[in-house]
Amino acid sequence: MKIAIGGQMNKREIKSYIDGHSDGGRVTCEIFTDTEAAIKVKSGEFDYYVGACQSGAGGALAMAYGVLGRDKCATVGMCGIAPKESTVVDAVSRGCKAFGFTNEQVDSAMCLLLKHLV
Amino acid sequence: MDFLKMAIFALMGGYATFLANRTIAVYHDGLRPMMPEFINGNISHREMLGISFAISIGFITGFAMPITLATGIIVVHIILLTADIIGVSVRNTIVAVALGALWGGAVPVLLDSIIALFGMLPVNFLDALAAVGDPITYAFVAFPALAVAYQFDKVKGLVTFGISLLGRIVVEFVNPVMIAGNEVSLSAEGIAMLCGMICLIVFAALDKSRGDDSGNNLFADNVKRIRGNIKWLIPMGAIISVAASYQWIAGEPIAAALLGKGDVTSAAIVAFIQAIAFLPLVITTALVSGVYATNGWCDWLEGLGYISPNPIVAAVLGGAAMGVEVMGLDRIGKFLNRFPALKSSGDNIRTAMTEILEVALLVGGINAGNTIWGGTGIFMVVALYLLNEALGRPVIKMAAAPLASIVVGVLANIAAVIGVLPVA
Repeated sequence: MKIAIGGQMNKREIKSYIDGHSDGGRVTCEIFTDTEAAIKVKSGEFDYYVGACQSGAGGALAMAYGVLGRDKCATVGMCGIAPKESTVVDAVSRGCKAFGFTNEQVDSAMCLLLKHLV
Repeated sequence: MDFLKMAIFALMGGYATFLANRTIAVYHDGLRPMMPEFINGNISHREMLGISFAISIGFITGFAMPITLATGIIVVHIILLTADIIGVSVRNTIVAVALGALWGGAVPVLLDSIIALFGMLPVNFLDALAAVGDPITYAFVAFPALAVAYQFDKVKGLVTFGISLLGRIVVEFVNPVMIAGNEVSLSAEGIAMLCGMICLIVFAALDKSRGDDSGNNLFADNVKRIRGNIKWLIPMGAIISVAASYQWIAGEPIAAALLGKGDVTSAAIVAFIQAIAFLPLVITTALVSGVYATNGWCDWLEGLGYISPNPIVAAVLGGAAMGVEVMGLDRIGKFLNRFPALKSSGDNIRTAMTEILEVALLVGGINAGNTIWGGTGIFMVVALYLLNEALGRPVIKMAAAPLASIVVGVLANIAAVIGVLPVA
């Protein structure tokens, strides 16, 4: 499974989390600008888009909204609302390809996402 | 009662609400990508109330409010996020604008009343609270080094840190300097930050990677929509710069802390650098949605106000700056996609500034807690900060310690009233 890291904040932190929980190398990831990351998921070169910003919906997902469409995007955690397992499960079952959360929720959001995407 | 201040804040609140109501501009960068669905009618006003409230309330109560109370400078989120909420949830434009103006005008009155209330307390902790921002004034200088380390490598990050530090030490050593017969003290923070920024710009310019701008032609209609609204957007730029020229508002905590200390020049420099940091976010969300940003490229409109000699010049500069943003929108969007290193710099500056604020405000909050209630205050701020972490951060990390020091102040007063805490 290949994850494109877009969004606008804490990209290195996301990468090191994924690299540290790669399920024996089955999950790989790369850092891009938000536009590039969204385009790479649309073309099928990468499977999923993840991104962070201060709100979990603006910089994290803006380009994914534009390139992939709103129905393929989900905010799994926002300012003051911690990522919830039910939100992630629901988003994955709806067929979402892009996930946004806040810069403070990298660990908790990625933990849930990897659990349900792998 | 300062009627001019009330009037300008009422105008700001009312006009920003008008822009949100007519889907011309919203302040929250997270609300903007939702706007096309709202314009199409796929999301109702009622649903927009829920969405905008959920994504804004944390920034208003947990981010802007504690910093505003601690510095006495109104952080614009309080006005502009509320304007978003009212504008997208109330259908009738006149009602919405009236509510927005009412809130805008009420904010400075509320702030003044709260400050007056502080004076009547047995333990007046306003000065201690103002000290929450003290570490920021020195710590923010670290952001170029951190941003370089994130974007390039550790060695370049350390080099940037070393050059910033050297700049700071040299300025402190040579101060005050004689310029044209006048003794002038150079800002050690300003020079150190400038040294760091030069390193960041040099490293970014040496990065030869080039992207393609395939993404942007998708958004030609949206660019046209925003350009068509330019006459409505220019006054917003003018209003923000005018309020900033009176040093009443700040776009974020760093400038607020610097303004609170009277360091207007550094606040202006920070506001301009914030614009570089937020430019990619504002441009991408605007291109995607066809809806512009109420505060432009977050905070250079404020910066222009700080450096203006009077409100009239500020109005002209702020309006012109907003016009430049709107006219340059698609060109800057293409430019950012062609030079990904530049876009990454913006992203990394935001990450770095947020992390510095988290540390600086924690230290400031602990100091303030200790000043208000020696020893007990430290215990309380540290405990409340970590409890907030343990509970999954209902309050944003950077606002937790300032908010905790307010709690210390309130409890200290209760303790003084019941006679547990001897008042000096």
